[in-house]
Amino acid sequence: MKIRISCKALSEELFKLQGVVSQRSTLAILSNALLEASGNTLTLHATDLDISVSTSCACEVLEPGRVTLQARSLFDIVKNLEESSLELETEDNHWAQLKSGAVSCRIVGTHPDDFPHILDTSNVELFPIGSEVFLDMIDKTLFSVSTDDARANLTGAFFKVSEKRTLLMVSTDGHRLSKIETRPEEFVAGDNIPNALREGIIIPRKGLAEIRRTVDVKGPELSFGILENSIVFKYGPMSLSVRLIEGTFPDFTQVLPRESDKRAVVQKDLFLQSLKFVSLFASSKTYNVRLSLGPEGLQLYASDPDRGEATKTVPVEYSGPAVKAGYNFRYLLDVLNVLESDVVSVEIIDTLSPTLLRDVDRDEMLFVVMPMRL
Amino acid sequence: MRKIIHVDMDCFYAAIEMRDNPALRDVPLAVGGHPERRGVIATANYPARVFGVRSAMASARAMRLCPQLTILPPNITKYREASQTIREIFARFSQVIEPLSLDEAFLDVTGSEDFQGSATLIANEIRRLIFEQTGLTASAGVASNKFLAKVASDVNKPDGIQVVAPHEIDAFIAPLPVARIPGVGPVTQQRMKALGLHTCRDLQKRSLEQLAREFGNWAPRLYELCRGIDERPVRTEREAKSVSVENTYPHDLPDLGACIQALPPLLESLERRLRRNQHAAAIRGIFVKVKFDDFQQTTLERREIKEPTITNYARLLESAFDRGKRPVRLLGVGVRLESEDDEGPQQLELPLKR
Repeated sequence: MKIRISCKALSEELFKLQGVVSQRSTLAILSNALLEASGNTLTLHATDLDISVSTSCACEVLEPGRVTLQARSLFDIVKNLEESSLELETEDNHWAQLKSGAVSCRIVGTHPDDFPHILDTSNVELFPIGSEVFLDMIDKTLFSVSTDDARANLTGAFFKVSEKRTLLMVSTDGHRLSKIETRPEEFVAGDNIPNALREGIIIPRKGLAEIRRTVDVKGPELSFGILENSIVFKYGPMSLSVRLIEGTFPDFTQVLPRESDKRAVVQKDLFLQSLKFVSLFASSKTYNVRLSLGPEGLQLYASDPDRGEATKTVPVEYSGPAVKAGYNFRYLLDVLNVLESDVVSVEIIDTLSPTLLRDVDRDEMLFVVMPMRL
Repeated sequence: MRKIIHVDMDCFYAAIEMRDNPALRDVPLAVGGHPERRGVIATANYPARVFGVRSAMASARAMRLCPQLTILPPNITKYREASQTIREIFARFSQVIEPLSLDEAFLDVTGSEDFQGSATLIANEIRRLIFEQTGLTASAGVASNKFLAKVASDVNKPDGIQVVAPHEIDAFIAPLPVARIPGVGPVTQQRMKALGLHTCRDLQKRSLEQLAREFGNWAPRLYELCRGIDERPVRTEREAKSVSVENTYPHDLPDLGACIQALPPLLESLERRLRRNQHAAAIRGIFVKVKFDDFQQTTLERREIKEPTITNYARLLESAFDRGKRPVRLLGVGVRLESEDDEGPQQLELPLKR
């Protein structure tokens, strides 16, 4: 294989592989990228066996062929070149020689046949999905995806086409839950939506994080489809396939609090800033902050034998009975950080029941946080 | 100044068997598991100890050391009965009793008016009553704290007593080998040896800072123990922090499937134990323990899983097995219980169905 290619173009595509290639996998080949040159295109692949990325860019192919090179170090090398283009040529031992201006280096490589099989995504039926909407769905749910492998079905976000054009994404770690439903204009699907999507799939955390990292709202169109047991995303030349989590997502509808008369409406910035202040006094072990709703307003309280105690009261619109509950303040911060309205609503049913937080003017998303037993 | 007595029965299980069958009295005898089924020795009598047979030793090894050794299977019901009698005797002299096992306990007799408050006389009376009512001998240690009392009870074993009066503490503790300090196992002992630390006197010469450099968080405790200082109270009600059962298999379980098949009987006995103890405390988590054929051991605990079901244990076992991926010689399952140490708020779970 021998190619001449723009450093900028190559480095942009190599960037997309970096989240997937592992630094310390037991399989050394997984830290490599597979490079394939043919026609006038260089195609790059990387995989951690659960997530695979393929992408491509134009190049001058002087001699078609394939090679696998260490993806991270190749990225570091290309990023640091000063010239605008480089030449890459494989040697007989599968190493590669790289020349760019005054630079000449030889890079360790391995036989391309050792590289794992990459899912062929060329025939997947794709549905366009607005990248802005989809990234927003990820932002609203990723933080509450579980990191506990013992509950594998919670280590991804539940994704479902609920009605003809409505997309639903839900995540929970067993302590809190985030739910968002949207109807992106870009998403037009007829009756040919795969059954899996109608029933709902679980997209692993890392796959969502990779989409978040590589997709830019200003970039090309984002579309997705289902292939075997994977969800495939296409974004310009990039194709990212993510192996879905097997198992069933728990029935979350039962934990969604019903409409209550205990809805308090509060200025979000004031709430956020007060929470940050009071949490300075929260125990570093439990992160507990207590919220009380009453005629005086929303009172935040934290205490710790090693720090002392603090309260702050913020005005609220609230007409329900006095009620209070304790929370891990980090869970509340996570929610406040993704809410968008200036005023948000807090619904505390009682000390032990799920508490509901949401934007006052955005019904399509809601957040549930379970209290701590005081 | 407190007055603490440590009472320790002499070769308890073996002594009961010898009492009930005098023919066993002068032969090397042990109570424990079958050597061909990977049993371990629970107790050995003194004739067996001459050959180097010790408790916790593999029965097979004990048989190699002493081929004429008689190994009896344990009769826990019988031992429990004797233990009950002994505890009733303790209760005549103090309300502050901390049983460590069936055959061992601490008593705090500070402020006792029996025998004009002489802990030594109380200890001797306890030993006399034990012999009178059970035919078994006990050794006692009398001192101003638990650590010293426990070390002392071993000094004149069997059927003996050792008193460490306050003015004798320094002389008693200084020549004591480091291995006698609770927490100093073979590994620490080797490390201490390499540092030239053989006795408590050697440890006393090190500053707290020096000890901290070598032994980390444990240093303050070590610093006190090597001076014979131990402020731990005699705790009357030992709160169980966990309940568990384990089994060493006669033949290694070759793979994960075999391990999972071995779960149901283990869980049954765990359930029995949970029922018997009638723990009011809520279950706060579950754990599994796996010992592989290379003796590597791993424990995996999940605090958020509160139902000791076979599915939950199987899932945990799978992850634990993955850490070694070798044949397994021992499996254990257990539950962690709520304890007073967990004061403070606890995160509640969303009521999701699993």
